[in-house]
Amino acid sequence: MSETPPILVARGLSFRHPGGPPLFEDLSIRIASGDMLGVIGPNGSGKTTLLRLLAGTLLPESGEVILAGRPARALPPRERARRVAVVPQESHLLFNYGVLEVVLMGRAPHLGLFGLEGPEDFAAARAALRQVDLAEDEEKHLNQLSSGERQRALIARALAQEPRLLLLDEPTAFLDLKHRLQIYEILRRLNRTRGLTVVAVSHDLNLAARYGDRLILLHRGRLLAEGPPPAVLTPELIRQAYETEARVEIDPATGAPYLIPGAPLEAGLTATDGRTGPDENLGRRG
Amino acid sequence: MRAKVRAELVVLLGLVASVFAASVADANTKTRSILLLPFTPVDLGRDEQWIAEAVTQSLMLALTQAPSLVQIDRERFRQLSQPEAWDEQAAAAAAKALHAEIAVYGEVRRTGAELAIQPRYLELKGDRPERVALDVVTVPDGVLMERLRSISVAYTRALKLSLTESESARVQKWASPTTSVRAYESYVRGRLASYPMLLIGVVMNAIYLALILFIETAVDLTRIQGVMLWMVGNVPTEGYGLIAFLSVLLLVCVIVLAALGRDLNLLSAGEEVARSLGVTVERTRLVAVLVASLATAAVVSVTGLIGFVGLIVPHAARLLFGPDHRLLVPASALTGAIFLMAADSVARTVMAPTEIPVGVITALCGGPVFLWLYRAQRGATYFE
Repeated sequence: MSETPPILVARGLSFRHPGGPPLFEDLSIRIASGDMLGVIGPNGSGKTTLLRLLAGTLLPESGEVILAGRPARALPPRERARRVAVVPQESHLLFNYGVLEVVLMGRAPHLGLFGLEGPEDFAAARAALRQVDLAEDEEKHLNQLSSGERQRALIARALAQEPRLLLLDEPTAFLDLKHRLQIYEILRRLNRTRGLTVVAVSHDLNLAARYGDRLILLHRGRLLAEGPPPAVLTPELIRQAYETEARVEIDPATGAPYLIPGAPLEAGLTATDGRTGPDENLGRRG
Repeated sequence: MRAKVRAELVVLLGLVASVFAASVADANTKTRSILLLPFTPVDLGRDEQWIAEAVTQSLMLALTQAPSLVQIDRERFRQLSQPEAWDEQAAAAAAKALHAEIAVYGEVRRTGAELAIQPRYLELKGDRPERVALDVVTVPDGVLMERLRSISVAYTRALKLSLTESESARVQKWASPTTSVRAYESYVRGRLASYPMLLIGVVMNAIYLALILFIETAVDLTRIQGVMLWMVGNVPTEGYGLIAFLSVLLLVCVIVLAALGRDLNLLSAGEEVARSLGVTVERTRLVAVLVASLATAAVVSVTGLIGFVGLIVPHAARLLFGPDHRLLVPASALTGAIFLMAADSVARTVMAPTEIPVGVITALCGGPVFLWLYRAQRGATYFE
């Protein structure tokens, strides 16, 4: 499938949350360099945990993550942070830093004692701000930005780390349509023009299918499917993972598959303790 | 005749409708009483039971910032019989007993790697309570604090609270007052177990006071005055040897803490973010606490208990110099030194030749400032 060398290989990962049932058992994933990968799956399937394991901020019980040829466990944290950057879903700072200050935080793994930035760090931070179209806003404070801009500032912070691999946890969860598309356009641009490997967890299946070169579908800690979007976004797999009937069509403009959900399966209600029952999930008055 | 009756009926209906509409519109601005019930834990592990209470505590802090809601005091609700779980019936009964117009309840459930929080509320108008379920909020590990904010926001929307921009900013801020889950956990546990932190503070204070009193009785009589002065706090005249030793020690401590400044900045963005940026969180925290304790102990051993300098100065310095710890640590050390010198000068001169203990001056300046800061930052809830 890919002759390019992998940037990250996860082999035989097992993990459980303290006191919880096993989440992953013997999970293996290979991410090729320059890939644009979408990770999808229903609630509780382990997407965020997987991202943290790949980022090396969480260690697996067994198995290993190999980053650019070296086991992540053996990498010093700062060196790891120069290779992998993480964009959290939504971040909240205790104090009101300026935009440039926040982006300069991404330079931390490159700094020496006392963590003082040199001109090249400022240059890297400003370059990162340009890449997310925030060059004009470096003087602003974080609370003066819209949520879309704030999310872009966090992506800029990750870019300032100059990573080879960018991991994003639902980067567009709280954004409206325009800002969602904006973020994904930026990610695609970074992937196409700079060869950055991008892995994004997403709840928006259609966006993931439109922008991802490959998709990974997680279901209860297992890799249910992996491959190009048309191979993963199929009615059968969606029914299995999301317990929902769906139709899949091809968007003639982009060639990407898109999903039209039908009704949730009745059997699914008991299978998940009613957690995804329709009346609870839609937040309607009842 | 008939037509007239019909016309009167229409007018009457119109009047009733307009009064009704007005009262509905009024409901948005007038205050409503709200009862915040504990969320029910479902399938939570033993160490995560507190999360259910954390949701309620977060809502309590956040919704205090909404002026149109009046929260029913927790003590009053504690007097009711406590059911196994706060479900719809129990919530309705409690709300009725306490005359609440809104009762907030819900559950926190563990499903695999995530928690699912189901926020609900009852609106009690007329005899039949109206049940509302909000969107389920899923909480993957490590993002609890952010999700607490979205829950509060969801409630303010569902309850149609009209908030000014600064009010809704305060709601969000108080829904997750810290980025550290651990700090929040100890806060919530503290609230649950009726103020053990306060109790621990009092007990520790008593133990150390006993030690001090013991030393006081053990030293020979000629040095008693020195002990007394140390306990009120003063800036004693000391030899250059001690001053040199202290200076070097403090300089080293401040340099180490300033060198940690970058990591401390990253920690203020949350533990997970700091970790992904290469910070060894546990080590940074341990070193920071140890070095700060060493510096404090060294100074206190010489000057005694001068109150409020450490409480006021770092806050003031943050207001003056911004939140960057690389600058803030040395800046607040210097600000503290300047403040103490100024207070000491006042102490030595205002009633000359009698010298007032400098601790009296710092407490008289610092106490009110601290209360003001406390109030301004945390809102009136902390004075309940």
